[in-house]
Formats: sequence, C-alpha cells, structure tokens
Amino acid sequence: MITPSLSPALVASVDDLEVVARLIVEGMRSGQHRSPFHGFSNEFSQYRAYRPGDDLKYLDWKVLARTDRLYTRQFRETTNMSAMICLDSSGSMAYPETGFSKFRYASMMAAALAHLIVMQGDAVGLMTMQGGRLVYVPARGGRGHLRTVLAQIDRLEPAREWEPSIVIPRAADLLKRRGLVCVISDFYDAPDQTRVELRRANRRGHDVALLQVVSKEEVDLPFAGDLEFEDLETGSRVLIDPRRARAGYRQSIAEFLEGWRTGARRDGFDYALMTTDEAPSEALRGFLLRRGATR
Amino acid sequence: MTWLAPWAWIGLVAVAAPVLVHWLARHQAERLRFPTLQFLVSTSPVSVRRHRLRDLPLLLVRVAIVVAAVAALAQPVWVRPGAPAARPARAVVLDTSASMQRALGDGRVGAVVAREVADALAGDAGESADAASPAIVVPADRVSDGVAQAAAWLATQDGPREVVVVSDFQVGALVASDLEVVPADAGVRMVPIAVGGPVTAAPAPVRGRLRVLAGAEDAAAVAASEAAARATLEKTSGVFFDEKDTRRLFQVVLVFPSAPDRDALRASSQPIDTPGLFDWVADIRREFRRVTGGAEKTSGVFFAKKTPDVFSETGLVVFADDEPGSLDAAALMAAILSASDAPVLPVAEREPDTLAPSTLESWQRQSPVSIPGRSSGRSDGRWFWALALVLFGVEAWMRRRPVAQNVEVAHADAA
Repeated sequence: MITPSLSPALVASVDDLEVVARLIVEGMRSGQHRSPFHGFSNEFSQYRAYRPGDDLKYLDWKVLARTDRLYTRQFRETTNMSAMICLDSSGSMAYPETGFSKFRYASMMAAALAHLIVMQGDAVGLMTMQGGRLVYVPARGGRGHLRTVLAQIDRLEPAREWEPSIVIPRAADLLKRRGLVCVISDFYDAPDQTRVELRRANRRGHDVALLQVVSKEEVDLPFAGDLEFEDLETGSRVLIDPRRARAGYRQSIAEFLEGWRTGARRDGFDYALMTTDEAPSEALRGFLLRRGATR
Repeated sequence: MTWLAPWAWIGLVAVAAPVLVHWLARHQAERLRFPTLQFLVSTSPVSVRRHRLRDLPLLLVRVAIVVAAVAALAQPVWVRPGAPAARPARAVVLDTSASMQRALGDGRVGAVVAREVADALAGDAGESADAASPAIVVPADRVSDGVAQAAAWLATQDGPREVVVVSDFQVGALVASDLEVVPADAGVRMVPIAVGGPVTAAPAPVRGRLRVLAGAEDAAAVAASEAAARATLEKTSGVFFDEKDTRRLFQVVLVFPSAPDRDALRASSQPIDTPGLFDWVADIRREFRRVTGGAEKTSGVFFAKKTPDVFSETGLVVFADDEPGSLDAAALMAAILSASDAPVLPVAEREPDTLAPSTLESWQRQSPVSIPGRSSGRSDGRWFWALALVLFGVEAWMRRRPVAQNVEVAHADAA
C-alpha cells in the first residue's frame, strides 16, 4: 500500500510508533485506549487467571469472594478510535511553488497519520475543501479504506478556497463518536473563527490535534532586493524591501506562531509546529512522542 | 595614451541612461508569490522608496559598459614615450587640365592657386621630422592618370602615406574606381579648387586674327624674349611649361621666323578658335606631309619658339623661317585657316560641371595620423570593445540572477 503521498522511508521511520489516543476516545484497543464508557459497547467474553499487572478494575470481586481465587474479566472488543484529518488545501499551502511545498509536506503527514491509525486498527477519515466544495471521506478502518483516503489526499491540489469555519465543525459533526480531530494547516485563514470551532469540537468530546506547517522562508524572510510579494490566496500585491521589513516581519510571525502554541496549550490541544526543511519522519516522530508523553 | 577622436567623450552623457533606469524602474522588482501578506503589510515601513538606485552592482556594470564603448569610440592609442613622430609620405596629384585655366572668385587663375596649394602640401610633408617621409607633386592633365602614378609611388613608401588630389574635379575627371589603385592603408584627401570663371589662359589667340611674321628681326626678337615670354605666360595664364611637353606651345603660338611675305600672309589671316586649333594644326601637318611628299623638315617649325607679344595682342602670331618650305607652310596654313571657320563655342557651354562635395567626401579616407611611438595611425579601441563585450556578458549574467540567489545571499548575511 505505497502511494506517492506515503513514501516507504516515511512509513519505515514511523512504523515503530504507536498513536496514543487520549482520555476521551470512545474505543479501546488492546489496552492502549482508555474508554470513558466502561462496559458500554463492550461484550463480556471470558475469565482468565489474574496476572500481576492486570488492572484491578477488571478483577471479578464476586468470584474472589465465593472461590477465593483471582480472575480477570475479558471483553470482546467492539469499538475503536475514530480520527478525522482536516487537511488545509488553501492557496497559501502551495508555497513554495517550486520544490517541496507546504501542501506536499502536509499531505505526507496526513498520509502517514492515516496509515498509522489504520495499521493499529482504528478508523480514519478525511475532511477538506476543494473547488469550493467539501471533500469528505468517512472514518473507517481497514486497508481498503486507507487506500481510499490516501488516493483522495493525492488528488488534492492547493487552491484558494478553504474555510476552516466550515471544515472543522463538519468534521466534528460527522465523527459519530468522540474521537480525534487532527487539523493540518498553516492556520492563516480566519484564525479567530478557527479557534472558536476547535474549542467547540473539543467541547463535544473530541480530542483535537493541531499540526501547523510553515516554510523556513516564511519564518525568516531571507530575501534580498526589492520584491513584489503576491498573496497566493487573494492575489493582492505589495512592493517590499525585505531587508527593511525583516525585523518587523519576524516579530509579527513569531507572535502569530506563539499565539497558536499557547492557545493550543491553554485549550488542551496537541500542537506541533513543523517547518518544511525539517525531515517529515523526524517531525512526525517528535509529534507522536510528545503526544504519548502527555497522555 | 592619446585619443584620435576625443570629441566622442561627449557620449559619456549616455551614462545617465542606466542611472535613470535604475532610479525610475520601480516596476522591475521581481515578483514572489507568498503565502500571506498579513505580516508584511503590518510591518511599517515596508514599501520601498519610489525613486532610489536599485541593484547597485548591476548599475555599475552597465555604466562601465557605456564608458568602455565611449572610450572605444574615442579611438585610444597607446604610445611609446620618447619615440619620434612619423609623418605620412604624400603624393600630391595636381590637375593641369584646361579647365583649371578658369578663374576663381577673386580673379586668380585656378591653375596658379592649385599649384600653390600643391606646393604647400608637398612642403608640409617635406618638413616632416622623419626624413623617410617624402612628398611628390604629380601634374597630370587627366586626374585619374595622376592618381595611378601617385599610387604607384606610394606603393614604394613605408609607413603612413596618403594621396592628395588638387583639382576642380570636373565630372568625369575622376571616378571612385580610379581610387582603387591607392593602397588600402593610405589616406585619400580631395582638395577642390573652386574655379568658376571663364578660361583665361588663351583668350587672345582664341579669338584673335592670324598674323604671320617673317624675317630675321622676328627670329631675334623671339630668341631674346624667350625667358620673359615663358614667365609672362605662366603668370598670366597658369599654363606651366614642361620641356618635355610641347603641346602647350601649340596652343599659343606657331612660329615661322623668316617668312618672306608676311604682308601677304597677314592679309589673308582669319580668326580661329582655340578648341579647333589642334585639329587645324594636325590638318596643317598632314597637308604639309602631303605637299612636301612626307618631308619632316617643316614639322620642326611647329615646335618653334614663343614670343612675348603672343598674348599682348589679340591675334595668333605665326612665324615662318627661311627654309624653303616654311613660307609655303605658313601660306598654306593661313589659307587653310582662312578657308574654314572653326566653331566658336560659348564659354558657358564649355564650362564643365564639378563633382558634388558629398561625393568627394565619400571618397576621402582618414589620413594616418603621425603619433610618436607608433608606426601606424590605427587606434587601440578594439581593446575597449572587448572590455565592453565582457562587461555585457557579466551584465546579462547578473540580470538573470534568480531570487533564490538573493535568498542565499541573505542567508549568508544573516550568518
């Protein structure tokens, strides 16, 4: 199952990691997910002898009282985690237009996450916008569905239209159970409205993860000589001397990125800033390790 | 270093062109599509100044191109200090055709003026510090023949050389192909003599009456005044006598020093006209040969002497000597002359058109300039052209620098 969006090197580098779900994930899989709904949707399967280390909440106290033996109850798994990846396909993600664009970087991240989630038995879906219309792939598990998700990601092209105020609430609504809403974007579009929708999704019980993708040039503005900057989304232009504007620009974008980082921490979201000059495998590994350490 | 065309430095005003372009060409800023402008427009101030010099290295290269081109046009010449100057060998072609006998506006005869000019030009060359740069004057009735002779002489000369043609430049006297014989590295100068008046060289015999003198006293008078006659003739007519060229004598006088019956001849004399004179003389000679059975003894009389009063009277003087045939010859000639009237052409019809000054200018070539330390007058401007070409390549390379290179430069600055 290798597609252009999921390079073998990337898969090989992150395959040893586990996607760690958070508290409010409905499903549980092999003890890795802690479900907030004990007994709900779980079907009793059998007893087995207690082994040191087993969770005491699964110890059958009645059997212990009657027989003075320790037994642990086992359940048949019926649910798992559902994740919805919201991928920013706005025009700003097309930068730089030559070479490794932010959108390509974000696509690889989305593909890698989808692959990992499906490989550990969870469900993954996709929500984005293309040509002014929502593109939705429901959250399901299985390799066949993963291929569908990856193919859909591969068909996407960055364009001007991407409205987070529509994409994020639709993704939260279409997750039938509480799950993971993962937004991969540069968060340039309507940041205030985006925060409102992310908090709303979080209040509905979804775990929210933010992957903010920017390029090195966006952060440093390393250009020399007068340049006419053209906005990739609006097409507006402005003639700038980058040398003179560099200090102010760096301060402004640093404040913007710091605002997203602190805001995500305050709201309890997972957050990672990724620059396109960083190796995708390392960036994803770092994100998952940090996520696992905080859960 | 000296400059053959220092006026070309005026072209330095062209330096203003690239400066203005760099100053005003705001629209030439490279365009960069960027994710968002919200952090750029919020930074103050961010817009570039509307008028300021942009891309100073590229501007300097462009200015250098202009300066190099102007320097090349100024024709620089590197000289070796202390070396003597070399002047060109000069061949002056002097037009001695009949049309040069006309007068200039100030009344002087064109041939006289031309002679003075030719002598002056030859003298200039002769005064050269380089003794190996001589000068000659080539008189010629046909200018094209004179140019050929001059070219042949120049071919034997080394170093800078030139041909100077002094003439009134009648139409047809000289054509461009006549100059092809001049060596390619030799200069060519045209010095027009602006003759415009009527022919003054031989008006008296042209329209005079035939007069025949005879007897010993006439021969003696002719011999005594020969030198004075020549001087007078040269001064008044501009006709210069060459001992080897006796044709001019025919134009002015025929002498039969001892004709016995001059009264009879004088009585039978008739007016003649100069343009037909030579033909008449030829006819006379042919007639003499026919009459005398081919004897050449009478032919000598036609090469006889000059007389001081040839031009002082309005008549053609014919002398006869004591030889038996002379009287007959004189009588016969008088008879022939009186028997037929030669056509009298108006001066205006005989006056030739002259070549246009633009034509003469197009034929001229720059004379090699004598420069100390140089064996030739060629400039070293080719080195400046080469420099300009190299700079042009550098300018093209700098103009095509991508924005990415600017990024690298900025990274280096930041480091």
